[in-house]
Amino acid sequence: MPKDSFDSDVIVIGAGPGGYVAAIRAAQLGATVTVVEKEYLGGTCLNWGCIPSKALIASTEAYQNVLHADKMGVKIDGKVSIDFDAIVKRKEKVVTTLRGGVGMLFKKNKINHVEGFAKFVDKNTISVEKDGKKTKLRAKNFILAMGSSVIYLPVPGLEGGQKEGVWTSDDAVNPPFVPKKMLILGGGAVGVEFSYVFNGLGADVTLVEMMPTVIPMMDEDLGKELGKQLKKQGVGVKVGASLDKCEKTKNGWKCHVTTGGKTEVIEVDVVLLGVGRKANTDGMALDKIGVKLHRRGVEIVDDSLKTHVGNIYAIGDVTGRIQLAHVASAEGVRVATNIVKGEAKQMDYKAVPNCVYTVPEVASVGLSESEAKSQGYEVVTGRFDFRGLGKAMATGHIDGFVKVVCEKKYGEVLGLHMVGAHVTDMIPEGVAAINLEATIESMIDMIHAHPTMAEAILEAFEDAHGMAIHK
Amino acid sequence: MTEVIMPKMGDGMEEGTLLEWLKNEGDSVKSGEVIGNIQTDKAVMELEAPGKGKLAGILVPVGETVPVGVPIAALLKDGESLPDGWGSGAPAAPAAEPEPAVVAAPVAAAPVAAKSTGRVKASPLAKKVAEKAGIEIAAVAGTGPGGRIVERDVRAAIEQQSTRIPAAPPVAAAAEDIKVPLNHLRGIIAQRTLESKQQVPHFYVTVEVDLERIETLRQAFKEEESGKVSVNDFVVKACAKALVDMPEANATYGGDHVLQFGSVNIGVAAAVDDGLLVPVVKGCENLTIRQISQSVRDLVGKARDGRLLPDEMQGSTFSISNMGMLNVDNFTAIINAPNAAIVAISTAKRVPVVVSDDEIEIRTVMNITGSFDHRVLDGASGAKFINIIRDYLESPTHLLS
Repeated sequence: MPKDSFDSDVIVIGAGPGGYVAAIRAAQLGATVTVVEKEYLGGTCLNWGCIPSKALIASTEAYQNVLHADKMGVKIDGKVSIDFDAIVKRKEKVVTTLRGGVGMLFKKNKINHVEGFAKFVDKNTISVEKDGKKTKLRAKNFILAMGSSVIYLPVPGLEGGQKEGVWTSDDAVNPPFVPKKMLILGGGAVGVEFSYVFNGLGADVTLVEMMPTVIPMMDEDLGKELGKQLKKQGVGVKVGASLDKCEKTKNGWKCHVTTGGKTEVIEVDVVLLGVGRKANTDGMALDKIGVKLHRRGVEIVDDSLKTHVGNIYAIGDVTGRIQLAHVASAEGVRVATNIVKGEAKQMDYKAVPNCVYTVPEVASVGLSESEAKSQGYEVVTGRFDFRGLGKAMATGHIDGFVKVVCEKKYGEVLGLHMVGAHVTDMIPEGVAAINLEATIESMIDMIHAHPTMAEAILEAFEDAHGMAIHK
Repeated sequence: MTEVIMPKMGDGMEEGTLLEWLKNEGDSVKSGEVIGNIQTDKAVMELEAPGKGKLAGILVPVGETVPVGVPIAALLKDGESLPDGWGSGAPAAPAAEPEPAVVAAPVAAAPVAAKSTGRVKASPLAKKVAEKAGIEIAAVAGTGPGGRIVERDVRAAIEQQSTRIPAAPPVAAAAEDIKVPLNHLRGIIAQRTLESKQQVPHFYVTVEVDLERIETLRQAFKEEESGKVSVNDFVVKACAKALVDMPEANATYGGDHVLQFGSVNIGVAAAVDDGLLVPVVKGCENLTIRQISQSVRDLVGKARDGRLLPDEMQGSTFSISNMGMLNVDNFTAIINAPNAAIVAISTAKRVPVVVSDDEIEIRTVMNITGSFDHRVLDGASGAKFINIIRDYLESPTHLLS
């Protein structure tokens, strides 16, 4: 093969929400694109993450709504129960349908889908191995989008896998059963979502988080409120706590949990590790061709997402930076555009929304109050509780609140933080506000539909301005 | 309750800095009593109580700068109290033009620079930052989607203004760079000159003026009891007469029209310790050269002492910049917007001149250069105008009437 002949303009390695989106955009812009995927189209998000967990959460919520239907004046005679197999089957159908959708999009955009594991030969060549057979592929540019995988966080005494009652999030989205008693380690998005699901489906759940609140990556007020709501639902929320060691029992584990200096032993069937992921970079010979790796993944040169090798880019979890599907997709679009159009535009991470799909939901974008203060902003905040809204009362979704964080001098919107029903669907307002450089005054000039939960956003901005109407 | 607002103490004033509160909260004040001092663009002004009552709810601490029209305190009558949320509200709509505290200039009130009235594509934050920095948002180049002006553009414009101070010449590597913060006047000069250079299409015309006759006349004046008259006084008078002869140069660009002023008010640029001020000699068309001379001397003296009233720096219809004492051969001046023209006066010097009969004589000459707003005047008009000035200066007896 002559040295300057290429099979594709762009080869994308990994077909998750970063890779498949990058591939489609590059193809739309006229590039010839090949995607190499070692497993399923859709990656973690679609197969083991966002989507299957949302399907399980939806079933759980449906069950809970029926259980509490009397509150809304609906009387149910007879037994209400769950069909766990049906729940898992439904989830599986959702996943396979969406996975097929990605395949259709590839066909439509004439993207060449190659199954197998990619290993670099030189900076323009990979060798793809599938069932012992190797194929060489050459491209002008590469997008590394291999994503990340769960890792087993080392806990003294805790060994084994699903069969031994040690689950990761991969196991939790394909649960063989609902454990009777369960300990979930880590109160991040994964930990709290599965706490809601398994508690809601009848398990006795203890949630152990090291930091002083659950979801510690978000504004402190959100974590406090969510912790309170989960406790109300029956989850044993332990914050500022650590899982010191585990002892194997006949049917599960004895877990030694220390909270504020006091240690207690909690017996469970299953320990779910809700923390820890690792970039998928092993065995690809990346370092041999000059792509530098750091502790958490592929090192990029700047926010144009180039690696140390000029024709190779990295997006999504594999960079070890922000591990969110929508960030990977946005990075994929940016990189695909940069490659095809010969640009070097940088990503802007000022307004990255972050959502947690518990009941109540949590959503956040921009700076938390403490982040804003530590960055030197003079901060003004506003807050409005959903219980003050007509829509919240009418629908029975009175829990939670909206908090806005703004800069004082100009009124610049710095952050929007919400906990409550439907808040993940309301967060785009905050994204738009921050991206478009809105100020408090411009936000309160916007008419918000009535009755909606989003009125709380208007009221919170009014509050930051010193005059919420319904507070 | 009576609101005390940042008063507009002259046409050009957009904001003021509270230098000093002379009364405390709770003090009773009479209407018109001086309750504080305010630094405007150019001068320190007294803040008078707009009514009587007890001073309360001071919103603006000493040292803070706020736009004109913004409430800065309140006066309460007996039994009154501050309204809830006093001070938390938005500043009073800037559109509500407060009454000028100082009577505007006669006939030729200073025209406001033509502002773009169309929608400016800018983010709310960019607008806010521009407003607080005193930058005209429409003059900022946008780099956001579709040319939208975003915060970084305004920040860059502010940065650009502040870096426009001539940097110290690069010297030995050992010397450290010094960052000199802008004083208020420097900031104003930076903003005004930038705006003029960016928004006014300048063109320049230079002529050489033979000063022999003026020098003779000045000698005659010197010997009189009433004292000296400077070359500059002759220039002001010559310009005044030229502006009467050619009213199209005594004008301003108004977007869809050109406004020719009825009065000739000449701004005379004067160097002061920390910058440059332009006091205005008003009604020059009716002043004799002696009156002009007196008026210029008074105003420049006041400028150097920092005693100029805002109104004495406003309402110019034309300006003169004189570097005669600075030993320069020629220079061009930036138009003092919204004027349509400015004349730059260079140093008089003795040079050989070809006079009539093709003979060479040593004579005193100086260069004068007119800068003109091309939206108001074309090249031929500029040339005509600068030649009228030259004619007057070379036939100075016409200036004595």
